[in-house]
Amino acid sequence: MGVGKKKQEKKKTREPRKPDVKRPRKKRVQKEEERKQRLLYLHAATPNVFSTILGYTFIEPRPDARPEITATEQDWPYENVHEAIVDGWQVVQFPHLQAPFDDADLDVVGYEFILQKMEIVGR
Amino acid sequence: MTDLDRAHLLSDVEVARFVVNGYHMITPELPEGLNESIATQLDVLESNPGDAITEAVPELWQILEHPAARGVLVSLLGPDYEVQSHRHWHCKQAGSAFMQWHQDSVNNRDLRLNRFLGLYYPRDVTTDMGPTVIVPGTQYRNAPTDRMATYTNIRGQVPLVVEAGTMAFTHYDLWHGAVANRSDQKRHMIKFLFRRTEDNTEPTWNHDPAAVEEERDWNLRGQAEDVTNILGFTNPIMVAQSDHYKESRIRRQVWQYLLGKPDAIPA
Repeated sequence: MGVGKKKQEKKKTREPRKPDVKRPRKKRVQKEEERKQRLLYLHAATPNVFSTILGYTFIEPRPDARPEITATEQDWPYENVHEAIVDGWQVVQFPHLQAPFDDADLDVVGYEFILQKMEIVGR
Repeated sequence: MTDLDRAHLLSDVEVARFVVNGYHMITPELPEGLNESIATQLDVLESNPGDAITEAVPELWQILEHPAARGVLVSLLGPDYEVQSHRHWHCKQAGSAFMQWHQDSVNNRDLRLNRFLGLYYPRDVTTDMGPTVIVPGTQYRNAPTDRMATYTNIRGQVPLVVEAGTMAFTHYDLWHGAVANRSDQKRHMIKFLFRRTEDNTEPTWNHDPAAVEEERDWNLRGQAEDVTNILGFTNPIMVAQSDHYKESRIRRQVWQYLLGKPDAIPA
């Protein structure tokens, strides 16, 4: 049984696994756990991701994070949803378009996209 | 109505802009020291008197009865307008939080221009003192306040960073909120409520019938200075086509209603 012999020899030559081989992988997994969900609500003029944004809200994963209306010059983060996607945000909810349609009445402003970014965020 | 009142009536363009944007601001020439006198009395009030704020600070009537204020009220609500008994002192304390967007009351909206608010600020309001913020053009939206909870900054929003003595007349259904007060001062605002008692049979402002005869100007659009183009083209928060067409139709209905055609607004 020459083949079996060869297998045995191969087994013998295998070096024992070094205890520190897992270290880099373990470190990366820890960082994954530290990543938290940043939320971005974008209210776009239409359901099209290239339409102009009419409103936005950032929600950061920090205990004291409270987005609020500001009276100073507005610094718009993106002009449309697509720009946010290019910047790494992922859409987790698209606008609901199944609501009854009314060609006379007006209700909320824009179409709401909810996006997320999983990132390590300091406290 | 006195000649002085007539001199303060709004023009066609001003009424058209109110119909579109849902607000109009004035800074009347008041007796020297009146604003500060009112503010000082408010500073030391120990509790909120609610509707009795005009009894606690009777000088507030001088604001309401000023010809510039009467001119706006007659122009938009007719000569028999009513100052309603409900009024409120909104004292935004130093360090107080922002207030979320909302429309007052429940979602029982009426397109007839038959009531609106007057917001009087007796002291200068700076950006850090918690100014009221409004969103022009949102007064025709039938939006439950709960559905506005995910908005923060909205394109075209206007913070009422104003000088002492300013009165902002705002459509009852205009979306509004307030910025946090990060200053060390109280921000005072007295809210008054006004109501129409009679439908118009004719325009009650300085109306020129020729004002509505302009053709559509596809070049100037909302920048044009005439009623037709202001009502048809102005888009204060840059909504898309469907909403813009609906808004334009509603504005024309409201304008016709104010001209004295109550049936212009569908029941």
